[in-house]
Amino acid sequence: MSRIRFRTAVLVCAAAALLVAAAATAAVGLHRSAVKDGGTLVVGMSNGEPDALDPTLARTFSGREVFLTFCQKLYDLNAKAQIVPQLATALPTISKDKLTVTIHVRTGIKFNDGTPFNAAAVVTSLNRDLTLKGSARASEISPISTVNAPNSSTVVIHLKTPYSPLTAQLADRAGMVMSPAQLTKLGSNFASNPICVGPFMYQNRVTGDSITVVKSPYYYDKKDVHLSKIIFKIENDTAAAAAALKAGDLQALDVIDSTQLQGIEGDSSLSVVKETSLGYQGLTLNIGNKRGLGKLPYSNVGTPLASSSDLRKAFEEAIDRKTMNRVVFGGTVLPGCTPISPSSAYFDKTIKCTPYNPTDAKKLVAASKVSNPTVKLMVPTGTAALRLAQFLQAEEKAVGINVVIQSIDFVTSLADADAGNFDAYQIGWSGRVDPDGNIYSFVATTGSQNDSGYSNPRLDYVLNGARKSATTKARSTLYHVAQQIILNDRPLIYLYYPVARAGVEKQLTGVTMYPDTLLRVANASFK
Amino acid sequence: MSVVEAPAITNPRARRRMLLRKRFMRRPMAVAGLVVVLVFVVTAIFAPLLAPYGAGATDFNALLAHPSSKHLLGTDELGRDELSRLIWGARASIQAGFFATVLAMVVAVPIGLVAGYYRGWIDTVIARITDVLLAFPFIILAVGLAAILGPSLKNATIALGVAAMPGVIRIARGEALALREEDYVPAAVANGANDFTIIFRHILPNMTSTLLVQATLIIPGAIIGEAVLSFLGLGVQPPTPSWGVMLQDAQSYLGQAPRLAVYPGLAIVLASIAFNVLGDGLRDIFDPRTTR
Amino acid sequence: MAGFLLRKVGAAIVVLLLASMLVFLGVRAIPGDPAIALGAESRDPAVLAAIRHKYLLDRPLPVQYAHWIWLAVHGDLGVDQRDLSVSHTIVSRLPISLELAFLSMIVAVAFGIPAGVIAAVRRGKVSDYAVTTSALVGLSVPHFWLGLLFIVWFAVDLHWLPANGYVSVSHPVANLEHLVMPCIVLALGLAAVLMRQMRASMLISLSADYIRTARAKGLSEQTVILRHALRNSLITVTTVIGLQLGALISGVVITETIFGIAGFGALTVEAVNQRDYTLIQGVVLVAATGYVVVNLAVDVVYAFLNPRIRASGARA
Repeated sequence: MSRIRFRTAVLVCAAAALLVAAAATAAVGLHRSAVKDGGTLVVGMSNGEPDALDPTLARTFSGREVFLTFCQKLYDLNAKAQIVPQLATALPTISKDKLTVTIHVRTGIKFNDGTPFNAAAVVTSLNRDLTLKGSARASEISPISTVNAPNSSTVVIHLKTPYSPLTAQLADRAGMVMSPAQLTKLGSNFASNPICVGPFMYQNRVTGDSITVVKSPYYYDKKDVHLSKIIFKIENDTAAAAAALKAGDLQALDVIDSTQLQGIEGDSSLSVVKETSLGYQGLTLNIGNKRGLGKLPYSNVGTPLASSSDLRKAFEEAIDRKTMNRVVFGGTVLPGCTPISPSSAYFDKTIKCTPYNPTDAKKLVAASKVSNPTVKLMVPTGTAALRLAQFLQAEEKAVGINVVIQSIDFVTSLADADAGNFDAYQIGWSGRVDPDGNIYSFVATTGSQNDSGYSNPRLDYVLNGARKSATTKARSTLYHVAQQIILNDRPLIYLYYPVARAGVEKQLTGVTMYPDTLLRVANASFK
Repeated sequence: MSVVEAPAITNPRARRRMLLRKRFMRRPMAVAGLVVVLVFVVTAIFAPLLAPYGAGATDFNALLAHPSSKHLLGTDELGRDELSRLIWGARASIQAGFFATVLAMVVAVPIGLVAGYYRGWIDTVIARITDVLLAFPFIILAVGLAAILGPSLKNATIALGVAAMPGVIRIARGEALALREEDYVPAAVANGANDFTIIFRHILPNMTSTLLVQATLIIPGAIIGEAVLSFLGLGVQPPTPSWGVMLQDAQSYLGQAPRLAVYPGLAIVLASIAFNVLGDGLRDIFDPRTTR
Repeated sequence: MAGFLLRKVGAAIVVLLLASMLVFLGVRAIPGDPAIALGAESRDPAVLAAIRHKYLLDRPLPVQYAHWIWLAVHGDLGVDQRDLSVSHTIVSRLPISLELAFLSMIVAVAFGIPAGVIAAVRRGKVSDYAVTTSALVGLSVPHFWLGLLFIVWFAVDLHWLPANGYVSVSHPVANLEHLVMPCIVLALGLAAVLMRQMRASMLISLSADYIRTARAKGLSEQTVILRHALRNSLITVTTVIGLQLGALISGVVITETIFGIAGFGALTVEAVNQRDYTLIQGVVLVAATGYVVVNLAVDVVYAFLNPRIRASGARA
């Protein structure tokens, strides 16, 4: 019913655009018969409403999905989670002392306000990221000391210390280049009409409802852009969003909740796009966080788990990850035991997980001489999270470890974790392209999220080495060592990698998802 | 609520009590309500003896199992016996209902009494504060308090008790306003009784019936309230079951095992109806005006 | 009358001011650092400090309160965690809840009042028992459970109605389809209260002197009931409807959560879960204001209909 009416509305709205698009297709020479130009795509966004659409200030995951359509970056990801040039023309060249990074950028292309894109604009954006008050980027690129543009196609970045994760940061919001003309005009209010280089350009935003982008006339690669308009519709309820997708009110939905999956998979007009996340979910064990995060030096908190590495081993041996996947998640996640997901180019197949072994766990518990060891497990509120917690509780009980669940809202749990008020904390990480982003801040002694209060000089040495080494091979070797140290000491026990699933109408092609699990719709088209 | 009556059992009082009992027994609905209430209370107290399995005993090879001789009501998403969880759940729900009501009464009644008895500025202040609290809908007040206190059965109970207070204050105040005009108040004053004696010896006992009725009506509200808070993740901590927690868990499996949503809901409805019927019956026997 | 109005309005303003302080302090008593919530995955102390500064979280409480209330009086409830205008968000979400509440109220009145009248007129008969029993059940069934059952029956099993969501009024058929179940769920408790109230009030009216007089005059039973008894009872019931607003708001919160309706009630729960200070404050303040204003209106209407109260100024 509403589907038919919607289709009509789309057709009417897009009529003019269709004409233009038809002409464009003719000009290009109809090189693809299956692809139709024009049309409006409505994408449901289930990750909450984006915050300010300002690359310097933005903090939300959902914002990144919208940025993909109108704000390109120096670098991007490809399907294998490798970094590839986008506004840059090649991967950066790094000086021998690893303190100077040179990036060549595209020439002859335009921002969506028609002003030319050049190296100076990159310098302006990076300096804004470094200095604007409230910048969420400043810490991501803090090792940068100065940036300059010797000519219109070259950007030279000087670093205070070697910092190999820089390229990965430039493949995210720190690498977005804003139109200097628009920055001059709007200043810190850039989000009211953000202009970058992109296949689409920002049109408007209705708070609490939608964000609309339209096809850009200035984009350098227009032949691969087919839609005339994309509306990002904010969906506050996963079930309602799934219903809207089935009804045709949405043609794509970025997240399908596991409880809605059956219904979507059963719908013949819909297909599911899925990708294993770069992030992980697991348990942070409190080893040395006695006085709060960052209060160095960390000293052992003295709980059974913190004092006995055998007990930590028993704790992990008690968990059957395969059964966990079946019971708790209906088989929708990917069990695993490392901080680096199989989606990452740095995933290490040679690392051996601690096998499920309740018999040995029981022995270790008995040998530990701690009678009835008790672990307070802090869990952020949520149906699936609580299900997992209760599963773990049952598994641990079987080997003689008593788990007490403390469910608490997410924000409070973060504060309690920082304060060290927990034995074990069920939490995950959304994941970064560079393995450093999944490891360093959690387990390095000075890590900004080292809630475990874990401190191992050898690991610190290895991780700092990995930050400074430039080749993939050298870094892989170092991360292999790092992961083995982590798996042996267990400041964290990694449990699984989430698998993101999006729903897409079969009429729609070209919608993809890379390991960053952002739904990419910029090159989509209707059949 | 036979708090203060005890020392002075005079003949007319005993007679009145007998009369009330007789009137009560003539109401089959109210008696049935009382019986069901007692069944729930007994279940709650003796849950460990009655439940066939432990509340958290999982069986990962029997997830969402259908009812069978082994599991009379089937199992839930973690393979736990549904019947056992219902029985254990009665504990949390009845506890929350009962203690929230006691808390509301113990705090709110004296406040209402003072306001109604003294009137004047103290009444104005209390009335204004009550107005402020009443400006927040019950559930928003309870959710807010539970969020401040943190999730646990104890805190949910406190939140529900506090949220029920403004209503009780109003009722106690209204009663006190009316009762202080009764003849026995000046008589007591003439006999040299102080305010304390008048309030607690003369006014309070005379509003016992109203308060008792009110209590039986707050309890079901608090039972449902506990379910709502648990449903929103602000109540009992897992794996301890409460009927609200069970409903929340069931929501994710509505398509596969709708029965999981039916049982705890029925338990809530049954308990709530029983208390309401009991309250209505008590109101009827205390207040001859509405007697049929 | 002017004095009475002034007193009532004055009291309402005092109540609202106190309520706003309570909300303000209550929100800050909720554990969890809003700067951490705002920082999303960034826990960098510099970012957190900048956030605290931006949202005035580093200023003394009285300053924060004064700033908030001053803007609120001017209709600006500030910006939430996502830098979006709270007033704007509320304005966009409120109509959804108002539609839900309004339709539920209509359903409740359409069922509750006739049922109450019938029960009173046919007191002690089967229809009386039917009405009182269903009112009892209506009071005892939790909204959210009924909502779940409805979803199972009418959406999952029978596919008659959409399980959840909201469609804007620009698609009237789909809009109503989505609201059928929520409305019935929400109306049930209200209808039960109205039934009981109507029955009790009609019983008193029917035994009043003027009804006896009317009957003695030989007026038909229908005229007596509809013209005289009912009209009188409706005054009482109207005030009850006004006073049910609090229950209605509570019901909206739960119903919207169950049926995935992105209205004002769902916004409240979201705001609490995300620890969004300004959003919680705004939402609760608006709810409280609505409640106080409706109560004020009820008081005034009641006084207007019942001059004795107006003269003495006593509280209803």
